Amino acid sequence: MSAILKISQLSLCLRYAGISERILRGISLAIDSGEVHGLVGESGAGKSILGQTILDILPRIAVIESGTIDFDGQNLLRLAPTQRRGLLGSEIALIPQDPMTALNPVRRIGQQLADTLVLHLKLNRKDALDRACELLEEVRIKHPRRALRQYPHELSGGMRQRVLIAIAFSCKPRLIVADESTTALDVSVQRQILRLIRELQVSSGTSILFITHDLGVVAKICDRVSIIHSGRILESDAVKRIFSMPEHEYTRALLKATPRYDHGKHQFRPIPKALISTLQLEAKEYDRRIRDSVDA
Amino acid sequence: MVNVRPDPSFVYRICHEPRAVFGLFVLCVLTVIALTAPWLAPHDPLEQDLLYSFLPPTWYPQGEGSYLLGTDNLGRDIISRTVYGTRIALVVAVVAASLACLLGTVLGLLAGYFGGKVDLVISRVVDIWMSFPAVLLSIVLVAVIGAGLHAVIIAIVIIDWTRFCRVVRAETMVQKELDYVASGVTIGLSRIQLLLNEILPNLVPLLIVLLSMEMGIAIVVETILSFVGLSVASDTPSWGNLIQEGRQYIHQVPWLLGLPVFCLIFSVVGLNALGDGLKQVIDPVSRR
Amino acid sequence: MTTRYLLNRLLLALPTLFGVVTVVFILLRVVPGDPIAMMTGPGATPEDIQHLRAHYGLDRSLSAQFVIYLGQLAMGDLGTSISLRQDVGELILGRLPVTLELTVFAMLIAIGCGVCLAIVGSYWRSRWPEAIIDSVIGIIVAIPDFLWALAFILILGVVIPVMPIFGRLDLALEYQSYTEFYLIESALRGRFDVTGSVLWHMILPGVALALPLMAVGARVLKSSLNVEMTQDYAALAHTKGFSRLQVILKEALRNALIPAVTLTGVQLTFLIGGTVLIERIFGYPGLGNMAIDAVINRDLPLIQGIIITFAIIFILVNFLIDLINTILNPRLRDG
Repeated sequence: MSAILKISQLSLCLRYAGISERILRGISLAIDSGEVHGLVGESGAGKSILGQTILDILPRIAVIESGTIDFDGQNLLRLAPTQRRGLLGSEIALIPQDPMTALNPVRRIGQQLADTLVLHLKLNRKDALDRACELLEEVRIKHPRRALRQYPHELSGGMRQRVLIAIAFSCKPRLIVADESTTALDVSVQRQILRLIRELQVSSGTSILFITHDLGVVAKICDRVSIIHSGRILESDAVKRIFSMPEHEYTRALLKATPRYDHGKHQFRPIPKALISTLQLEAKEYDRRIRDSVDA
Repeated sequence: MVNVRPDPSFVYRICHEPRAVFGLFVLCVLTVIALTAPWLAPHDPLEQDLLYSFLPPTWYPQGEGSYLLGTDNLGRDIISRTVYGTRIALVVAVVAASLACLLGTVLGLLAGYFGGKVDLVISRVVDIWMSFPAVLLSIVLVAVIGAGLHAVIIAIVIIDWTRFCRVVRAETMVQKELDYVASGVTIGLSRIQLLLNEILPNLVPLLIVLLSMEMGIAIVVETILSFVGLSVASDTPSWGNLIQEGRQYIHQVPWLLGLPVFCLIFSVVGLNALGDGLKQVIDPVSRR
Repeated sequence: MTTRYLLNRLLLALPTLFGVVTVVFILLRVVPGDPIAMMTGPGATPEDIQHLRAHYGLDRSLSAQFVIYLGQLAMGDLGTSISLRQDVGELILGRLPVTLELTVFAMLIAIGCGVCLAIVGSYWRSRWPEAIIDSVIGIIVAIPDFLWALAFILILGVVIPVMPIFGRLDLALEYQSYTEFYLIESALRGRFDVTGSVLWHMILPGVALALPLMAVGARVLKSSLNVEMTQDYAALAHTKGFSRLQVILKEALRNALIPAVTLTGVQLTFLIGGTVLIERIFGYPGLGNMAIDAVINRDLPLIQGIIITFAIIFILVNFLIDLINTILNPRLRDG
């Protein structure tokens, strides 16, 4: 299978008031078409920033230092802003983290669903709303007609997340970035939403970059997974292999730190501090190498 | 490698804040002009000479040497009248602003320190007060009190005490919770002593900022009321009266309007800058 | 639900109005100086004065006067002007349209320009256009509308005499109006020469009135736009393929308007209050100009009538702001 998204040697830092901090350190990652690729790391590992880089919603203070993001053979970072916007929403979409804040509180659900349909598929308003209604049916919202006319505050968190999923899938994109998309939901809703995403993904053949800190979620939905720490990918492999024979020490620690209910005894152990500081040292070492190579 | 430097003195910091320097300069100029008006003004501001009415500035062919910017409809010297007008502007600025400050501070201290019902009543009045347009309110008030300089000052005080009250109230509430006030309570200071000796001194920098801004506002309000004929008698040289005459004879003597308008803008912008600059010096964090 | 909420708000305004009426009545009765004596001059006999006092009802007790006054008010009778010897209601209705047209014109300028400035500033955030807009707003706020008006007169009326600086209409134009709404009426009747002249005369006073509201509104709206642009929904809108301008206009603007409208509501009443002075400066024959004459002449019934009119306008403006907020914010509608 060919890779739909290929990131290579991506480095990025945040610069503010003369202080610069590197967040991504030579990230390389490939996502095949039709696969769900998990990106797992602790908070601060740089996983969300990576998603934001792909989606072009980086904060102002972020500066991309080097690297390429090839989507379907073209480097996203080199595209003109209008071309890049043309891909967003139609070819690359986002399922955001927090359903409570990701929908515009003063616009009706129907309008927010119709946006991409009007913008990319050039539908007129009426057709767009009809299509939006079908999309709501596909994400199993009851009374889709009524929901179209409702405002976000009239829906529950799970319903809103379904709306956001409908928006993401609306133009049948080839890549979806799901940024902690189920973290804000309670467990039973989370399970339904994961199942829904998987179903839609299978039927549409979309690739998904699934960003999460939760290996349990990865086990449920992902085909392959990459482990990220301090802005570096430590290991990338099929989910089964990662779970059965992890190579990197950090991955093993991460697995042990994840509560698992499938085994009889619950072997929960926090990640050792020494390991964390080793990883941080390695990150510093990377920064030093970069600095030296620039100076040389 | 941060050197621990001694806190630069207040004067030093003011000297390095351009807005404050400019504001102080404006205030000094106004004060000097007001104090030395009799020597500065080339003519008696009330002296009429109908033979010399509507004279253009001196550099025009018809201009007269001693009337630098010409004369008004009654042949009075425009510069002299503007110079004397500074006195009224400054008197109103100082007196009205100080009285408004006094009233607002007292009520603000009471509201902030005692809280409860006192605070409720005072805050409510402030809210209602501030929701009315000041110009309209001042005109109505002067209608009630009767025209004249004292009425103008009273009107300004009645309207603008709220500006002080609101800020002083909020600040007192903050101060009240601080340690040194609590320790004052434990050593047995009475409430009044606490208010006057402990809290009030800490409000002084803030009050100076508000005061300098209020002076600018007071000058404008006096000019407005004098412009509509509700302040000093119409032959008295005040900026508002000059503006009113200047508006009337705009095409004959534009200088009659131009000079006082320039003076007003100069004073208002200067006093505003002084307030902004001082605020910056006192509290560098609050940038707006 | 919504209509009931709004009706409630309107009903709540009635006690406010009653308060205004009472306060104004009491205030104006404690005025030193006898308006009748002013009106008659030194030649009048005591009998004349007594007669006039009785005519205007000033010889009764204060409470009796108040009750009579309230009764008359309830029937829409505002009394008779002492200085102009005309019905106060008619006088006010004759001038109100003039002030209303000017006020609405100024509001449209203020809102239009304010919103544009805020959008431009937010679009080019942290770049030179925002810096320029910030300093322009700073200058406008520092100088009151009174001084702007005078500065306009000097610069555009005298130094470069391109704009009219007095009155409402070219004196050369003959126009017989039925409603006093010159602008609308003349446009409807096809007298576009009159419409043009009225508009031309409105520009300077309108802009002078509009500047403070425009500046304050733009400042508030720009900062709330900047906040909204960092919200999650704005990021989502960007990933839908919207350009920055589309995100501002379609997504952020409406959210940003909600706090901006609330915060600038008071400024709007200040604009209306400002007409008093601006009309005076530009010799504009509106309500405000008449108010100042009424104060100078101590014309109590007229002052009362005008203040009550302004109070009603303020109450309606506040109601309008509530209404706009309910329209803008769907979360308020069920509340």
